[in-house]
Amino acid sequence: MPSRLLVRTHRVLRSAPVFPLRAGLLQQRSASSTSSGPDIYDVVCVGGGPAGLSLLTGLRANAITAGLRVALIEGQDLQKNRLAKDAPLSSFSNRCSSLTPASVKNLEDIGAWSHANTARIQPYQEMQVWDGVTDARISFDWDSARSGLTPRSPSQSTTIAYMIENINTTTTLLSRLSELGGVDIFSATKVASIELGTDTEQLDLSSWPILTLSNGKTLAARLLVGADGANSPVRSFADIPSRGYDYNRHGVVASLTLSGPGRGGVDHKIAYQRFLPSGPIAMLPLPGNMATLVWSTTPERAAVLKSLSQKDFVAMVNAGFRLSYTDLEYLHTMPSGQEEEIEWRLKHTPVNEQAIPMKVAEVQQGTVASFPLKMRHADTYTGERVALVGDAAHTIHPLAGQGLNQGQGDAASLVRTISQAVQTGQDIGSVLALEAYNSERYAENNAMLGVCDKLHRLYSVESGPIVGLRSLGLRAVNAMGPVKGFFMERAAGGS
Amino acid sequence: MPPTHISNAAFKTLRASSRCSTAAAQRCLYHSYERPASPPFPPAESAILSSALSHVPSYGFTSDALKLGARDAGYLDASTNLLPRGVFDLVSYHLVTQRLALRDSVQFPSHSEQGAGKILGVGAKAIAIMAQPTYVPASFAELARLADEIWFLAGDTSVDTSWYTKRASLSAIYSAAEVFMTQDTSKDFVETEQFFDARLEDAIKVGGFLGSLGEWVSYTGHSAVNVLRSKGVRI
Amino acid sequence: MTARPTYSPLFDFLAPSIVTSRRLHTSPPSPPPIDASPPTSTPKNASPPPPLTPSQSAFLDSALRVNQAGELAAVLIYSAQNPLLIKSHPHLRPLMKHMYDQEAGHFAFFNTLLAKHRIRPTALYPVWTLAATALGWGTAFMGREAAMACTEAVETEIGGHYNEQVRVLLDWVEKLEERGEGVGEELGGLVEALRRIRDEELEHLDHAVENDAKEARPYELLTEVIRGGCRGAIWVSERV
Repeated sequence: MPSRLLVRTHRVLRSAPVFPLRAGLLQQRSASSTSSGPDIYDVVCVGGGPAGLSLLTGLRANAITAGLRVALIEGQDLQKNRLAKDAPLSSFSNRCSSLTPASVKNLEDIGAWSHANTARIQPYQEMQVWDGVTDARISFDWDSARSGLTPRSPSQSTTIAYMIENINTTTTLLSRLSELGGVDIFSATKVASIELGTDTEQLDLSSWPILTLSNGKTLAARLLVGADGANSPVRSFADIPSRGYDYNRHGVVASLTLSGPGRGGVDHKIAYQRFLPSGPIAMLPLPGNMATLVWSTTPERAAVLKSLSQKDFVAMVNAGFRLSYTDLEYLHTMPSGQEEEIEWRLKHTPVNEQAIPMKVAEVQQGTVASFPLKMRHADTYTGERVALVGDAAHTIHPLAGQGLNQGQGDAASLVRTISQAVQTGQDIGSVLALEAYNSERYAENNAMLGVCDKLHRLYSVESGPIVGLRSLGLRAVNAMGPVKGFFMERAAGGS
Repeated sequence: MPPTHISNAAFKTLRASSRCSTAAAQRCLYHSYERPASPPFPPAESAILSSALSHVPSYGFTSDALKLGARDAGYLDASTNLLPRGVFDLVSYHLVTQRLALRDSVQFPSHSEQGAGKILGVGAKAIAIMAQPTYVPASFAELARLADEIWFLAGDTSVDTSWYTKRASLSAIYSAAEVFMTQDTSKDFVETEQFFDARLEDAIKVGGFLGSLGEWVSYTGHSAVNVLRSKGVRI
Repeated sequence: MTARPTYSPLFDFLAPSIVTSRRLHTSPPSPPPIDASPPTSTPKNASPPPPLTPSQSAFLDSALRVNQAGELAAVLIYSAQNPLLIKSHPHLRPLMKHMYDQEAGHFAFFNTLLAKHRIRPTALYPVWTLAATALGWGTAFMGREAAMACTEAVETEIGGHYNEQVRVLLDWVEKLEERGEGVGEELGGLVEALRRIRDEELEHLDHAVENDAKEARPYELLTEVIRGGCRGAIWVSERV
């Protein structure tokens, strides 16, 4: 009997969405009685970055949640920050991310991937990682990751991940969002304040967050989603503490032009990461001869790198993959003239050119920038009528390229949770309904943060027994195909 | 100079006040900016000890220096009995006046001193006096006060457990440097300064490592509790 | 919500529960403090403030040390209680945040005071950290009423403790004014600050009672144990 009842309620809910009607009714009531009352929404997302846009697109694309009234608030002008369709392939943004196959699948599921500018996306098939002190190396690619017993079948993809500019991701999602429609977008509008509402005769909004925007409008949110970055105002409103520490490192990024399409040719692109004691230096492939650099190093050295001339900077990047750590330490103390110094030193340093990235020819003007690296994790992702996704919930070291992917995973999980809540007739903002999201994502993100933190600490050691042990471990994992495959699957976002 | 006579009553008062007020005034207590603290030594003792100090270079920290000092200040030789701890009081006076002078040297650094970095260099004989079992508690107390003074002048505002660890480590380093100095034969005690700087750097490194270890332990503990809470465990 | 009875300004600081609980346990009532007028600023013909006597210095030293330890414990108790309470009673969030912010303000105030006046903090800092966290977590685990009862017990002890300090300091002020000596900014400022902090602690006490602190089971045992622990901690922190 109860199961039949459940099925019936299911059908009723599917056919006539109850929530939007209720919200609409309330809105009518408030519109007729008090014109100055807050505008009531089911979901208000603060922050128009990849995580926030992915969440809203997912909600609009999902049939169950398509009836919810949703709003997006973004402080920057979304239309101005779009990638032009005819943007030249000779220049790339310096903020790029590596999208895992799981994230790409999410984007396909919500129908956004087809809107992506594929000419500016670079799938890569191999990753070379090595120790800057001992040269112990591990090579990630699907061919060597499978054991002899289960070789790769031709239909299975060899792609490890996709390099994409962040602006490409957001433009993709915005295109899909405008195709779906139904979202009230408040672009170039900041949130002036967030407070709890009041209990009046008509409405009890005492547990609802009321947002006041910079254009004077007030919104009441049944569920307020904070996708507003590491210093999230939504998280401060919810009094959710965020714990962690600063790494005392800066990530220097730049867009580079290499001297060729890569060691494996156009169809087999390789990403490189060399672990130096001051931090890893990574070169990630982009379409054509382009590549993007992420060099984590101390703040003082980052300042030196940013101050160098183009030629000196290019020479330093090349040296970063070729010269010893002691040489690099010395080079960072020179205010200029690294080009000649490196040229001379390279003559006396044996280098296996096949194992390292191709020489950098040029750095794109104005793309050398840096950002501080830190690790933060909120105590919980949910509160009453509040949920956090993306960087608002967690900040991670970029060495494993997981940050953006975690945000995408968060958004997908939250869409599932909201959809489940709508199906079972729950209040989507209640703590009970949101528990599933926290339960699904918290432990997983915590594990990834922990692993990246420990890798960073492990490879910060310059000498001693740890260096030998980590090199031994790295070589061992390289030799064991199934173990390597396990790590690759975890990093790709599979379970 | 004719010796000044001190009546018996005055003698007793001086002795009594010297014992309790010296002890109380020298304890680490509330430091008021509006109400200056009373001087650490009562006037009669101060007079004797300050003039005795001028004889220390020739006679060392001995009772001869004390007697000559008493004579110079216009007191009887026997008035050195005012000082119950004898030569230790002379050492103590020297240390206290140098410590209080640190403040001035930090604000108006002269070229010859490096302010708080300057080690007093009392010499082996003084260290031997201070190491006598009767005087060990007082010596430790004076060392602790010196460490506190140095940290305060360096701008330290910590008021948790690190208050203790910082002073303990600085006291240890300082006393090690003092002992090192007794056998240092380099010009201007350059080697002692290098020793001191090296030990300070070590201490800072260890402190930094322990600090980040504490940070990591605290973070890991909180995140373990948070993971369990996220899975629905009611803790 | 019952209307708050109005008291005459002299007894304004006395929250209902202090008076009731004192009567219940038939301990001698504390003398009403001379709270009516604030200490007068230094008159023009007054001499500069005399040096502190050793006993006065020692009193300030131990009093401020205990105050810092007390605020540390308060901050930790609230931090430990908060996640558990908010999860089951989300409507308590604004109140808990308000109380926590006030306690954090007190803690910061005493930290600056200790650093400025070169007072030694309590040597049992890590012990109090653990104990306060355990107390906060334990009482929150037992439920909302127990958490409120813990707040009530701690604030009762602390309120009385601050009141005693204010009384002693006002005593000094009176003596200084009798002798025509200036009170000084330090002492005057300290009295004002302690008064304000005491009033805020008693406000927390009222909030705790409003939120069913007295419904906790076992009320007597819980509050007696916590108050005894507070008294012991105060006694130890004055000395160590």
